Amino acid sequence: MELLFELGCEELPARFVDPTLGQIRDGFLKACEDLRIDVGEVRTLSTPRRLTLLVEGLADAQADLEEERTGPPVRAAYKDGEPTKAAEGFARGQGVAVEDLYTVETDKGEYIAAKVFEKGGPTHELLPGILEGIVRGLNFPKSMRWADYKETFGRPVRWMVAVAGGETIRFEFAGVTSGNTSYGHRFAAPGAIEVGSIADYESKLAEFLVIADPAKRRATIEAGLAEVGQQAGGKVIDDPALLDEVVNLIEKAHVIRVEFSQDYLEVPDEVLISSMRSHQRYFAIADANGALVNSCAVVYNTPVHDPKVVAAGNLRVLKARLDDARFFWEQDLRVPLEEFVSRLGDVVWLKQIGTMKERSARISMTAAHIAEAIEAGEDTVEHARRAGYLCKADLMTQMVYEFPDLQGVMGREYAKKAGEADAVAKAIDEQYLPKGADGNTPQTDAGACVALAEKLDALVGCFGVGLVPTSAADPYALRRAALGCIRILQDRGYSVSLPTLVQLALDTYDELDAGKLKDAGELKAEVLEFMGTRLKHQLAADHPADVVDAVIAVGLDDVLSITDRVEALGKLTSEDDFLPLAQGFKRVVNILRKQAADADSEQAVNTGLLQEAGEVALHEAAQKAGVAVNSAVEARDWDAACRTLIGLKAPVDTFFDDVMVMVDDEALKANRIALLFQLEKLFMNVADISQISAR
Amino acid sequence: MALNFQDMILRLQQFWADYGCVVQQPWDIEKGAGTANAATFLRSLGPEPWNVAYVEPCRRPTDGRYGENPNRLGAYYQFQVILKPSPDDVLDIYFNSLKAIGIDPMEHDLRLVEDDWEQPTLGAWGLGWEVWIDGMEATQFTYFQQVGGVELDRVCAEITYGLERIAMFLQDVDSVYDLEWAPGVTYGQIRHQEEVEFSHYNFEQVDSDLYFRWFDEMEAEAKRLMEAELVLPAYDFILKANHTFNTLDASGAISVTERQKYIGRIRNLARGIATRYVDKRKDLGYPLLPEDQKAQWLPAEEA
Repeated sequence: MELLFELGCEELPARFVDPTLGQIRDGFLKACEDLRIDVGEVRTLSTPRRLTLLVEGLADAQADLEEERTGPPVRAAYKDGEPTKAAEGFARGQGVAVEDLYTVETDKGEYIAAKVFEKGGPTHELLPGILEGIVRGLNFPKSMRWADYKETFGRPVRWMVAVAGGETIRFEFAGVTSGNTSYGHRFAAPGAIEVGSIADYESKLAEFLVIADPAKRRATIEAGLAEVGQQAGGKVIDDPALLDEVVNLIEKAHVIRVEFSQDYLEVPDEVLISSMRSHQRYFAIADANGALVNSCAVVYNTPVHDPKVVAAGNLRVLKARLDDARFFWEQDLRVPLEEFVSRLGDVVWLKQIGTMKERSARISMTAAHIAEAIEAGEDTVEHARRAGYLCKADLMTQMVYEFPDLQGVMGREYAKKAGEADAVAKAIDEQYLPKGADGNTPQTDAGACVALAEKLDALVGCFGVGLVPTSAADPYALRRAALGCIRILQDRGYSVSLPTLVQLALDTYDELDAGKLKDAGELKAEVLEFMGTRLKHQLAADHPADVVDAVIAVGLDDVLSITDRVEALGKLTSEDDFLPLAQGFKRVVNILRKQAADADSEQAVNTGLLQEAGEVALHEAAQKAGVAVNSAVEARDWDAACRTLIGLKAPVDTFFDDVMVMVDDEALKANRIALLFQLEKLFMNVADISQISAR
Repeated sequence: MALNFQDMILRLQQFWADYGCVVQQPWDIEKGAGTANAATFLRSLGPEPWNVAYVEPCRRPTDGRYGENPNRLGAYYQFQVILKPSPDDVLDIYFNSLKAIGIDPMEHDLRLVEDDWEQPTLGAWGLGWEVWIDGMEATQFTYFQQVGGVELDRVCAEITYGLERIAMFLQDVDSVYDLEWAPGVTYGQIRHQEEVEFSHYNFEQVDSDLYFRWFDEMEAEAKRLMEAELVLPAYDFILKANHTFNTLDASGAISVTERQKYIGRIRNLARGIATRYVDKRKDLGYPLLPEDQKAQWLPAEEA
C-alpha cells in the first residue's frame, strides 16, 4: 500500500525545510526497520507550509518474528535434570513453555535457548505511533511553543494529513488531529482539499495553486530569472545560495523585473548587490562585461491580479534601501580613512590583548615582514605595510555597520577614493581571503601578505591568551585561519617556512605589545602543532594518510615543499619497487634506532673499509643518488628526487641479502652504520618512507 | 482613495475591538517600542488571558535624522496587538486586519519572512516573522517565548504594525513627512519640528553627566520599589532608566564596553520585575483569569 503524510505548518524558515524533511524520511525508515515493516520507495515534497512524505510499496503488515534467544548457561538452568528457577523465569520471559527450551552450543559453553515467534501486526495499527513519534522527535535549530500547548516545533503546526492505503491514520499533536484534509495557497486558494492518494496529491495541490515539488518551483524560478535577465539586457548573476532559499520561501513561483534609476549605479556593485540580496532576496543582473545593470529580478508567491503593482511596491522598498546605501556611501566618504583608523582605538578586539587599532598596527608590521620573507619587491613591502595599517578601518564605517558582509570590500573602495595605491586597496579587500574551504585565495603579493598577517596575528594572539579552539567550539575561527594560511602559501607558491611565519607574528607582538602573551617558546610550538594538524587534514583529504605522515615526519617546515613532496610521493606508491623499498628503509631505520642508538650519525663512510660487493655497490649508488637528489631538491623537482630514491631499491635489497651490519669487528660495524646514516639522510630530504605501509 | 493616517489607525482599532480586544491607551512614559508598555511586557507573563490593542508612541533617539531622511524617524508610532493565548487562526485574523485597511492579498504579495525577535534589554525573545507587503516590512509578528527571562505559561502572539510605513505604502508617498494625517494636515506639519529639535537635542545637547546620574538614581529607585512590592511604580522607573540609557547611547557618551554593562543592568531590572509581577498577580488571585480556569492555575487552598 502507499502512505501520504503531510505536516501543515505556519511558514517555516527556509533553512529549516530540507533538514527537517531529511529527519522525517530517516525517522520513518528507521521506525519501519525496527518494526519489520517493508518499505518500497520513499519521496519527500515541501513548501514553506508543508512537509510531505510519500511512501510506496509499504507492507500491509510487519514481518513475522522468528528468533532464537539464549538464556542462562545449562549448568544454572537444570539441577539434577530438573529446570531451576532461572530456567522457568527465562521461559516465562520469552513466553514459551519450559519443555520447549533446548540447549545451544556457544563459544562460552552450553546455554539454554528458546525459539520465539511473534506474528506481525497490521501496519495500519502501527502507523499512528510511528508518525506521532516522528513528529515529536523532530529537531529544529530553534523551536517554539504556541498557545497553551506543551509541544514544540519550528513554527506552529496547523494541520496533518495521514492516509495509508486509502484509510485515514489518526493521531494527535499540539491540538491537531491528523486527517485527510490539506489546504491550498494561503491567499489565492485557501480552501480545504481532500487528499487520498499519492497519485492525485500533487495535482490537487496544483489546482489550489501550490506547487509541492521544490524542483518544479526551482525550474520555474530559473526560467523566470533567465527571461528577466534577457529583458534587462544582461544575465542574472549566479547565486545558488539565494536560489536555494527563495525556492523555500514560496508555494508558487512568479518572477518579475524591477527597474531602478541609473543614478544608483555610482555606488559600488557589491553594495547594491548586498542591498538587494540580504534584505530583500532580489537577484542582481549584470551585463556581458560583468557590470551591474539597473534592474533586478524579484520572486514572489501570490498570483496577484496585476504584477505591475507588486513590481511598483518592490521598487519603492528597493529605492529606500538604495537611498540608504547611497547615504552611507556619501557619509563615509566625508570621513578621512585616518579618522576611521583612530576610531578603531575605541573598539576592543580581545580584552586580554587590546583594541582593533593595535591589531591593525601589528598586522601592518607582520605583513611587511612577510613581504620581505617572500623576497617581494620594495613596493610590495610598502603596500603590505600600508594595507595592514588600513585594513580594519572600514569596520568603523556606516556601510559596514549596516552590511557586515561588505567588510574588506568597503575598505577597498574607500581606499581607492582616498587615493591609495591600487595594490593597497586590493590588499585590504584580500585580507579576508580565502572565505571558506574552497574560496579564492589572494591574487596579489601584498594581499597575500596582509591575509597571512591578519590570520597569524589572530592565531598567535588567541593561543597566546589561552583562547584555544575545542572540538565543540572555535569562536575565533582559528581553524579557518590556519587552513587559510596554508592555502595561501600553496596557491601563491611561497617557499617560506611555517616556523618563520609564526616567529614573525611573535616578533611583532614582542615589539608592539610585549608581555601580553604567554611564553613565546611554548606558544610557538602550540601554534605550529595546530597548523600542522590542519595541514595534515587538508593533505589527507586527497592523499593517503601515511604518505602525508611520512613527509611531515621529516619536519613541519615549508608548506609548499611538503605539499609538493606529498604529491610526488603519493603518485609513486603504486609502483612495484616502492613498497619493498619502504620495507628496506624500515630496516635501515630500525637498525639505526635500536641497535645503533649510541652511534655517531655524522661519522663519514671510510671507503677503504668497504669489503663486501653489496656494501660497495650500495655506497656507490648512494653517492650517485646523493648528487642527483641534491640537485633535484635544489630545483624543487620532487618527482625526480623520489624516482632517484626508488632507484636505490635494488642495491638496498642486495645489501641486506649479502651484508651483515652488526658484526663483531667494531670498525666494520661502525662503517656500515655510517653508510646507513648516509642513506637515511638522503631519504629524509623527502620523507620518512618507513611510515608507509602495504596498500 | 487611500486612508489617511488617523483613519487607518481608527480602522485597526475598530477591527481589533470587534475581534474582542481591550482597546487600551498608550502608557505615559517614554519607551522604544510598544513591547515595553506594561500591557505587553507584564501582561504577557502568567496565566491570565489577555487580548489587547493599542497605539504606542516610540522613541528611538539613535534613529533621529534631523527630519532629513524620508524613511527614518527618531520617534514614531506602533500599533500593538497581544493575543494571549495565541488563537489557532491568528494569522488569518491578522491578514483580515490588513484587508480592513485596504490591503487586498490578491493585489499584493504578502509574505512571512523568518525573523526571530530578541530584545536583550528586556530579557525577551520570541520566534516569528517580518510580514512583507510587496517586499516592504509592514509588521513584526512574534510568538513570545520568554519575557524578562521568564518562560511564558501561555504563549501570546504579538503583532506590531509599523504605522508610518504601512501608511506610506497605502498613500503612495516617498517621504513620511508627506503622509496625510487628517484631511488637509500632513505628518510633516505635525511632527517635523519635533524630529529636527529632538535630533539636535539627542545628538548635541544631552548633558551626559546629568543622564548618568539619573540612570543610577532611577535604577536605585526601581530596586527600592521592587523591594517594597510596588511592582507597577517600580516598572515605571525601569522604563525611565531604559530611556535614559537610549538617550545616552544616541549622544555617544557610552563606549562599546560600557554599553554592554548598561544593557546588563537594565536586563537585571527587567528580570527582577518580571518574577515579582508573576508573584504579585498570583497573590491577587489572577484577577483577569476566568473562574473556570482558576482551579488549574491556583493551588486549591488559595483558589
